[in-house]
Amino acid sequence: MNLIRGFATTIKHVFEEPVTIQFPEEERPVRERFKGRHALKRYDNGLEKCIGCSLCAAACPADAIWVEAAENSDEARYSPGERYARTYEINMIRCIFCGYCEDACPTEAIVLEHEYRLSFNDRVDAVYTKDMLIDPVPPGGQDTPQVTEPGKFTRSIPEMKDPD
Amino acid sequence: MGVTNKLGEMGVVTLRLEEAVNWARTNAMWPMLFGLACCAIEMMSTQASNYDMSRFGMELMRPSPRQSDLMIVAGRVSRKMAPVLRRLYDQMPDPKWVLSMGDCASCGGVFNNYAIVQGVDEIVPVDVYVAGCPPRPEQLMHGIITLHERIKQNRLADWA
Amino acid sequence: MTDTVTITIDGQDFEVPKGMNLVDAAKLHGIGIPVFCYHPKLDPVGMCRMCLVELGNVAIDRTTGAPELDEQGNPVIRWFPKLQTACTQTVSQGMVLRTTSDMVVEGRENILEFLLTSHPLDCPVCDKGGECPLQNLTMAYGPGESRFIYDDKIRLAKHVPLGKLIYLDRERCIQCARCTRFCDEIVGDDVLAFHERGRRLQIVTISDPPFDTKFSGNTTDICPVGALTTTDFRFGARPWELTEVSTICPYCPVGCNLNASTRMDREFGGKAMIKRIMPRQNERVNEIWICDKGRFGHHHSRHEERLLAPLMRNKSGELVEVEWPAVYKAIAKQLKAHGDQAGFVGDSTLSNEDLWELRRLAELSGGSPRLGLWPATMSGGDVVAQVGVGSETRLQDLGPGSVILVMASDFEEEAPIWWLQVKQAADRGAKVVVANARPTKLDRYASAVIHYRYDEAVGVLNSFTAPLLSGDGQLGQGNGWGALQSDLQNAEVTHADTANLLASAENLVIFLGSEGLTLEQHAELMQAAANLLIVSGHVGRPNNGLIPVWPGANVQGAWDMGFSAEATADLLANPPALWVIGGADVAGEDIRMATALEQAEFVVVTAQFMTPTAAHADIVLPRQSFAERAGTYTNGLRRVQRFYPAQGPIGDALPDWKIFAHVSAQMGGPRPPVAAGTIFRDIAQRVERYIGMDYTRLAWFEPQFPDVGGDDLYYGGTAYSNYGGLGLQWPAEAEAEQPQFSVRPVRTAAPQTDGLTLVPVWVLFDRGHLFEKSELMHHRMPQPYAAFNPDDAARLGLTDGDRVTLAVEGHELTVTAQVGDDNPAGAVLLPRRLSGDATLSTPAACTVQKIESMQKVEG
Repeated sequence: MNLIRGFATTIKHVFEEPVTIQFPEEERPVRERFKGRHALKRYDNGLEKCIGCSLCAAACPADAIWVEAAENSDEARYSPGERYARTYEINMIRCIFCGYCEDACPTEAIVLEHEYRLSFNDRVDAVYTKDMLIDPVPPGGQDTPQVTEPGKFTRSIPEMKDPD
Repeated sequence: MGVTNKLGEMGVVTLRLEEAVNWARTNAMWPMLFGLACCAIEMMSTQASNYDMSRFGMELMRPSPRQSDLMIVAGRVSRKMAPVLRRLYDQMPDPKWVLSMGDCASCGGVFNNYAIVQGVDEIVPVDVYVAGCPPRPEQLMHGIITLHERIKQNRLADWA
Repeated sequence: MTDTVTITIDGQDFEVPKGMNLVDAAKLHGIGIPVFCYHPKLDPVGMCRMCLVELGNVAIDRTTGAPELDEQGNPVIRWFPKLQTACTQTVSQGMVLRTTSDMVVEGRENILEFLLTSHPLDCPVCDKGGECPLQNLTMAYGPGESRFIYDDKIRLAKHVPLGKLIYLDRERCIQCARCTRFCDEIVGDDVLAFHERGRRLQIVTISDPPFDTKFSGNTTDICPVGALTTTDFRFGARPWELTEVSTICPYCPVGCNLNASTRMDREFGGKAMIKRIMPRQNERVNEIWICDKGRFGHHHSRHEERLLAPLMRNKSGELVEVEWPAVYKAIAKQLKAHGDQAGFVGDSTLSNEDLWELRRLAELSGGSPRLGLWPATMSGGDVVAQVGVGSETRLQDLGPGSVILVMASDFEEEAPIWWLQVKQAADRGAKVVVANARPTKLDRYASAVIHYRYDEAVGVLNSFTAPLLSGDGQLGQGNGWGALQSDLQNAEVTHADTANLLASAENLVIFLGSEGLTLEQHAELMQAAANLLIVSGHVGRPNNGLIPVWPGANVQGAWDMGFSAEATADLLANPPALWVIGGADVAGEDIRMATALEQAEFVVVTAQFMTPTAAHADIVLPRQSFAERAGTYTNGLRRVQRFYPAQGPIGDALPDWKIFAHVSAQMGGPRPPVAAGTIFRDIAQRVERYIGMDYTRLAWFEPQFPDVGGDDLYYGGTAYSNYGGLGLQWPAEAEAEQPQFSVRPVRTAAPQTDGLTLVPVWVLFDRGHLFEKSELMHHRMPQPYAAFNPDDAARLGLTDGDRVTLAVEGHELTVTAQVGDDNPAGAVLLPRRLSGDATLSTPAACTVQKIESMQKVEG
């Protein structure tokens, strides 16, 4: 009797729709809060949000982020304020996709997105540079470095009011 | 690429030898089960019905090195485990490949300490590094596809 | 009466020295009272109100004058009704403090809330972020929320250059006045001031050029916020990413302890690179101050013009790159051929280890080694060994009762940190006597100023000694006392008051430079100073004796290793066929050297850059800068100090000791040592003065007071604690139990001949081949000039700004003339290492020709 019941379960599954997802042709959508590959964001005018403060590197538990900062000028402006990231690199095979960098970022410049196809034939390929990470310039914006009018972008951190 | 033709209705395919060999190698690659830590759970999941690695000809994980082609190093390799890993790798018959799954196998990950090998490529040659901590099954499969692409580039001259 | 009093802090009794203020007293016992404006090296002002504490004194019965006692017999404590500032209150017996009570906590919270009303949220981009006292104290004591309205924040300029070295961010300033007080109290330069008042109070620079002081970088260390930051470090790294390496300044005889903050850098090939230089506390040497030359003069260590590979002349006479083994063989071959006619010159930036290996090489080459020292401007290493200042001398201990004689030196330009310490000693009540041929900046702090003609220097010292020679003398027979007495009995006592001052001083320190003196004259001057010190009994104890203002960082070490300026002079007089020059740019600094090198058969030079000397060489060897290797320097106080490798190596450059050791090995010497420490062990066995020293002992350190650079950055600023070693001082002979003194008469130099003498003088910000590579300092380097006395100028028909040609020993030099009342007659002052052309390192007669401006007369 048990034997029959067991086989019945097997036979039932034979007629069921297969559960296999046909990756790579078919993909299971990731969750909204899934943390995949990073992107560096821009403001609408094309200026980079990243100010090169290295707080992401400090927060990173795996030491995957490397930032070198440099000084903005109105003739060659990359980001608001005085400081921008001259070098910004993330080593994808060191990164554990924990999202601490996202939390640490004072300007919400770094965001972990949904891309997860990250396999490399060489360790060096796994180091994503700023060019690879940064978002394309939004429509109407201008690529960096920009020439900006003096005295307009003096503050690195966007104005944030205390919550009422 | 060579000339690949399907001749009429006869069910005959002609192609170059190296392509035939590469095709055979990619589509009947037996991975060696080398689960070391959390990544192993994802590797098991990749093998299970939802993702089903058999679709790539990876019918089953072989715990025996002598019957496998691909070593998936899934997890952190401690210094104590390193000689074992190398021994198993040496026991695998050629041609053989190594896929370093996840951060710890690739470069030590968050475990930057004396006990963990800082990247399994210190002891065995790695063909593909898969990012993630741990990688999703899709990521592992993407790694395997990357490996397949790489094998398909192999040339007769490189076999020697 | 004892020197200590007992106070009670938070219920615990502590013994503290009398006269100390409460912040220091608490700090001494590890209790932190947060401060912003107070700094242990500055006078308290009580501006920031952060150090508020509850304070109570023992109640005194006014009728009896005895402490009131309560029923239990304990003294009654009378509390101040309000919180008191701890920095402005000094300790008294029985004083009681509460530093953690609710009232104090609330007081601090409120102060911080006020300070933060307009402070911007800049921490992510601020260079101070991570080592900021305001950040730390806000986290520790601040309120979680502000009651002030965000929109009322005051907005000020964020990017104000104070000169080209320091940036001011007006919004970040919390008006503690540490920077202005540093400039006023410590340096005495009137360059920073407050402008406006109240909430609009701002720091402004009131000098032209802006922030015109040689010590501007120190204000960034003591600034408790990120208001003052250096352009050098601007956005270089975050403080927590830096690796700290202890090093020693390679520029002047003070031997300031530095801390190189390093970090890997993409543009430097992923190697560790010096991001900034900060002071490292050593209360025996530089306290917590360094000058801008030391702070910003590190760029030569990774300049793009650095030599990367050994160069050797090929058959057609061009320098081509070769491999190291080939040059070792070539040098060894030359040394074997000309060994007994070889001359060796070591630079003052070479470490003791380099010089030692150079000496070993010279000894292997046969003949008696001719070991010259560069710059060869000062004599008397043996005199310093005899009557140098006593061990454990601390310039900051000099105060009332001490006399400091500074002679023949433009002190601020030659040894800025000593100048700073002497200036502060004067402020504390020490008497400073300045003797020089011309006014210098130290004159304004001097009790007595003596201006003499350059050739009268010895006479001035002799006139101080002469009155002391009455009687038999305490020194016993055979020490030259009698000879000196008979020699000086007719000496004219020209400065009787000053002579009395020196003779009656409790402590006497003599700083001796060599301005305007030839090597022979300087040797006499050194002996005259020794005579004075011995006769007046100011030797063999701390805070007494001679401190030479050497012309470089490791001149003392070079003397100890057997090098001498006399040998350099001899090398010039009898030039050798083969020169081996370690590190020095001799041809770039002295035309006589350039001529000698031209005539030599073979010249080997270790150099960092393609200097004029290297251009003369047949073999040029790339040497490592001080930043890339380990070694020791011996400073002017004879303190042997260790430095560590900070920066990644560049090219194939090697430390000098390794180069010389490899050549020695080729000559049949021992195998090259593997590390600088091994060589130092060798030195410690063979050089008597260094016996007992080794790298481990040189690295000793102890807690210093005030405790700077600890966890509480608010107290002492961001200068670093010393974990790299305080160094060891070798004792002078005068400190032996039964010292053997000898004095001898020195002749006063022959009267000056008619005509003009060219006198090389020092400027701090020079164009020496190392410092010149710091491009951010170029604006502080003066244009080449020659300074004339108005009378001389009138005789020559010169006015200020004229172009003149100076002809010295067959060499001509064109510079701009400066005419000033301060310049001594009969002398042309020519700053050393300022023009691109070679000049002279010691004085010589010169003739001056005015260049008439070429005006085309047409039609």
